[in-house]
Amino acid sequence: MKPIDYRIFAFSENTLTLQLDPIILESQIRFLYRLKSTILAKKWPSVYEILVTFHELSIIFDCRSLSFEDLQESVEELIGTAELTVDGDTDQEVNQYAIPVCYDEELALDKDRMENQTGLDYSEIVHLHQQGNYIIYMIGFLPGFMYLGGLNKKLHCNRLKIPRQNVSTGSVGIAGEQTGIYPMESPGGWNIVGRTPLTIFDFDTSSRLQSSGTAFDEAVQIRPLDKINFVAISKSQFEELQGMNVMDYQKSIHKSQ
Amino acid sequence: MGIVITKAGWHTLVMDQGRKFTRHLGIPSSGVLDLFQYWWANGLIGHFDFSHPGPPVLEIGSGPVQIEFENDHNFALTGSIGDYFLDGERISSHCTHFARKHQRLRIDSIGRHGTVYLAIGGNWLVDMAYGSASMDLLSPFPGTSGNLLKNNTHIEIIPNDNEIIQFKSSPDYVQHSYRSSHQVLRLTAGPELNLIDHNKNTLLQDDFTITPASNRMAYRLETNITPAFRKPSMISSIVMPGTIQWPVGGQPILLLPNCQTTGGYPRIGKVIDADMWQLAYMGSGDKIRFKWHSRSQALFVRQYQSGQFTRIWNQTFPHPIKNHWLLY
Repeated sequence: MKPIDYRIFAFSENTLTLQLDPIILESQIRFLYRLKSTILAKKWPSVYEILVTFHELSIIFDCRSLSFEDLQESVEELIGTAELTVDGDTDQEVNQYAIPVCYDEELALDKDRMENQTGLDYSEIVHLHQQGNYIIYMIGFLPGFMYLGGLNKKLHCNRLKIPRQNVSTGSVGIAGEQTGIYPMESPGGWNIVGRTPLTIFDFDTSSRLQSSGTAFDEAVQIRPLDKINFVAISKSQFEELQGMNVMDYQKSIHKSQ
Repeated sequence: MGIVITKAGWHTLVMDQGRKFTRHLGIPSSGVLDLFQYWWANGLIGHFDFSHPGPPVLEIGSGPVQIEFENDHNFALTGSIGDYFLDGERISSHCTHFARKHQRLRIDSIGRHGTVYLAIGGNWLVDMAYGSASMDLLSPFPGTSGNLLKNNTHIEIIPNDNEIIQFKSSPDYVQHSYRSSHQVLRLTAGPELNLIDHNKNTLLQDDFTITPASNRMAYRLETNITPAFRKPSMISSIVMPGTIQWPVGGQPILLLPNCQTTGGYPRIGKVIDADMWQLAYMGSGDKIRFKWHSRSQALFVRQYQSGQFTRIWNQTFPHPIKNHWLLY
């Protein structure tokens, strides 16, 4: 069993944070989500919410009824148990999602920049981007913005020096060793290589959701650790699919297979 | 049935205690900054249970604002001092009022960088997104959950028939008699404070001025302190309201309830829960000095403050306050 190197600190009066090595690593993120689901399954009293990012897990707790020290002890005890080694498997069912992307020049705003930085022809960039099967590390930055890991090394690319004021909904970008999709219009500094016509995060249906419990997660169609692959489509297919819900698209491609 | 906001001003929006458990989806928490004044406004109109997300109120950041009642409603204003009129007659904040059908409430002006909470009795039928009516600046949520209010916005409020007690005044403790444009905020250390290659007390030796590039997501600060960082960058990690981020080579950013959920700038500190309410009464040009607190000091102040508030609530109102939680 590989020992885990970590530190635990109080991020706020109500938040305990466990921090691992500052690296982006699949085994590490799997460990953090496994720890999250283990803690949630134990239903510790006064623990309300658990947030995972690349190398951290943060527990929001009620500091009126639970002390940081007691919670730290529980977490450390749990990490010491055999069921939670770094190399273990995740029990979460992993779903695969195909995301159609139009890589046409008019939507690939940073085509030239990508070619210059990678030294590759754009068709090769598109080919490599499509070849990958990406794991969702976390959701953050924007509602529904997925940080996707597993980008081919040849495509690693610096962010724009000056972020764009306005990146369109559905834009697919590359920054550093990651790729991602803008679920809504926003400022952003990722290199844009194409755009998906699908609705990734449905802000309109959210108003019908009620407040309590798991309903939130039902609205989120795609979860961390799920896998994403990109499929190139033409501009006319892009127009046809415009606004389609990401789940409906999965059903439609399964039907046609 | 309800109210029409005939003049909305430039910063009037619907708020409650916010979205508390949506940050794993990248959705900000939002919600009011001064929970104490929010709770008190509701106490004055007979609300005492603050189970998530709590009753909606209007948050008003500047006058003039004019509201017409379409039914009889009780209401209360808390927060900053200001000039308030009901059908031309001056009224006070921090007490219970009754408005008759067709009466007009006018908020002419609000103290500099002020915030006013307007609670109106009845059942608000407003847009909800992820379990809360709070307006979110970042997410394109529908209607009042995603937008500032515009002139002539109608808000549906079903009046309730509950007999409520009229409170003619509030204890001094919950009034805002004084605010200064030079505030001291207490901080606990952030996870990346150790990336700064100085003694942490160097950060206390100068003012931090709030710049005009600020909004409900963050106050952008300006200071002459230029810390050296041991590392040029970090991996995106969680941030929360009250977090102070300090981009390497840049100027610090103090995050507010509408902030994004993750960020890639060093997190050098966090405003203690007990001081968060003060941020509701600050704005561009105001100066802040910081002071370090240990976690146990922060917890002590928090507990003392909440205890005082609860004690005064229970002395004033017939029902004890329930399910309130100082969480941003």
